[in-house]
Order: sequence, then C-alpha cells, then structure tokens
Amino acid sequence: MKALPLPKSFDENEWFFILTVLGMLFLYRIIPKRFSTSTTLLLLIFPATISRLTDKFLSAPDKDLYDVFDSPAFELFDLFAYTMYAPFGYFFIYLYDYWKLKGLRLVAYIMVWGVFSIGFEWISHQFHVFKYKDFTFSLAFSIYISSHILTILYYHLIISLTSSLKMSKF
Amino acid sequence: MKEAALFTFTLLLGVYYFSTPKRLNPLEQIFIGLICSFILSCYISIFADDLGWWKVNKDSHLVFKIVEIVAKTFLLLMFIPIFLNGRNRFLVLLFYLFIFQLISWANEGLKVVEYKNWWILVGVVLDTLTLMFLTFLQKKFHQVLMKEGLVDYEGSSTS
Repeated sequence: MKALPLPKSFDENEWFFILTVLGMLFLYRIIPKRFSTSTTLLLLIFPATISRLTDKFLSAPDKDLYDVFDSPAFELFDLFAYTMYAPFGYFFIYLYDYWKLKGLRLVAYIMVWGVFSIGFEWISHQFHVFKYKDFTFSLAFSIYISSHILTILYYHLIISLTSSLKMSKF
Repeated sequence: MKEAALFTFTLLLGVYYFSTPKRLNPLEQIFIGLICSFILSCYISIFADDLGWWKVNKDSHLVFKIVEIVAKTFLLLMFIPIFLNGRNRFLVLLFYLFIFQLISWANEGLKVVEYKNWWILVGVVLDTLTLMFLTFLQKKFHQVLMKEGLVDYEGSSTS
C-alpha cells in the first residue's frame, strides 16, 4: 500500500470538501475580525487536532465506526479533511463570544450547534465523505456536544492565559 | 502488564513535564502540543495503517496510540526549547534521538509493536525531521503568539 494515496476517483466527496472549505474561507474573510491573531490561530488548530485525535482513537482496529472518503486507508484527502473542522470551531466561538452567552442560553446554543453539526454530518454522508459502519448519529451527537463544551473551555483557557501574559508584561 | 508499564511511563512523563519549569510560554505550549499530536497521529495512520511498517499487536492498539501521541508530545515539548536555546544542539539532538529510540525499543521489547523495513534507521530521520519542523514552527509563530497575539481587537473578550 502507498502512503497517503490519492483519491481513486475525483468525485462528489472531494468536490464537496473543496467547496465547503472555499465557502468557509469566504465567510471567514467577510465577517469582521473579532480575535487577536494568536487566539484565531489557536482556535483554528484546536478543532482540527481534536477531530484528528477523536478519529484516531475511534478508528480501526479497536473500533471501526466509519471510513472517510473512498477507502479505509489514510488518504491524502483524509488529511486535508481536518481543515474543514477548523473554521467550524472558530465560528462556534465567534458567535459564542459575540452573544456573550451564559446559563440556559449557552446550553441551548450548544444543543443547536450539536444539531447543526449532525445536519452537516448527514449532508457530508450524502456526498460520500463518510461511509458509516458501526456508527450511529446518537453517538456522533454526544461526541459533538462534548467537543463543543471542550472548545468553550479551551477558549476560556486561552483567554485567561493571554490575560496573564499581558499582566506579566506590565 | 506491558500496557500498564507503557501507560505508567506516559503518566510519569506527564507528571514530570507539568512539575518542571517551562521555557515555552503557555500559548506556545498549546500551539506546539496540538500540532505535534496531530502530526504524530498521522504517523500512526501512515506507517501502521497505510504502509504496514508498524505491525501493532492487536490487543495493544490503545496503549500504542497513547505512547506514540501523548508521551512523544510531552517529550517534544521538553526538547524543543532545549534544542532551540541549548549551546550544543548536536548533543541535544543525539540525546533526543536516543530517548525516542529507547521508546521504540521498549515498544518492540514489550511486544506492543513490531517494526519493519529498517524502521530504527527511518525512525531516526523522521524523528529528526519532526523536531526540526516543530522548532521551525515555534520560531515562525513565536512573534505571533507573544506579541501580535497580545494586541487587542475591539469587541474581543481579551480586551
């Protein structure tokens, strides 16, 4: 087998991925800048890494829940696919910070994003980005909810570290 | 037993890491740690799943992932600032490679994984390239994380 094989055929799943990334890049460019460069960088890296690690720890042969793109092998587009998650985390925190959500509104916000994530997952499935095996949407929903909560905690960690670095500068 | 030994090693490494003074600031640690764990997890997919150069014991996949990703991320976070600021970089590199090879030997000795295709030699090159790449990233983004990163933006919670 080859390392990072190219797609067997360049079809709807690859096009879906490319158009999604382009759409998100466009959205990122048109919305007003809200965070500092370092926070933006860290917010973009976190979802990509968390999704990669989740995929790795949920992957075969311990568990075989789904394949990404054309085959069970780790393809070049599998690697690129994680860039798709990066803007999701950014937009999630962007709106969270914009609306300054707390309490029940925050719980509702996380739930709505969970449903939105599942919706996106379902659309990806229609374009054959994912091929499900022992996978269930209820499992995905709980993973998404956990990762959204983790992302909020991570954001607050970054903010508190940034503040303490600022304090130490003065 | 072998899983417990490797898992304990990772835990102790984590305790050591968090208990010692750091030469990287916390934002840099997060940045490097995230990228490092991403790269290391990709290595598992490429060398174990795609190429079959790492034949992981069927009962040891979880512990292998923990050692390869978590333990090596801690080690790289420790070595990057030493490599960057140390006077004798070559000696630091040799020590780093020695530690990484020790982990590979431990993995193989405890029958967690069987390396093929002269992995010991390929591994040295790959580990060196990984350290070099992460050191480059640390240097490249140091200014962003330390200076630009602390500039306020209107409306941000950081202000």
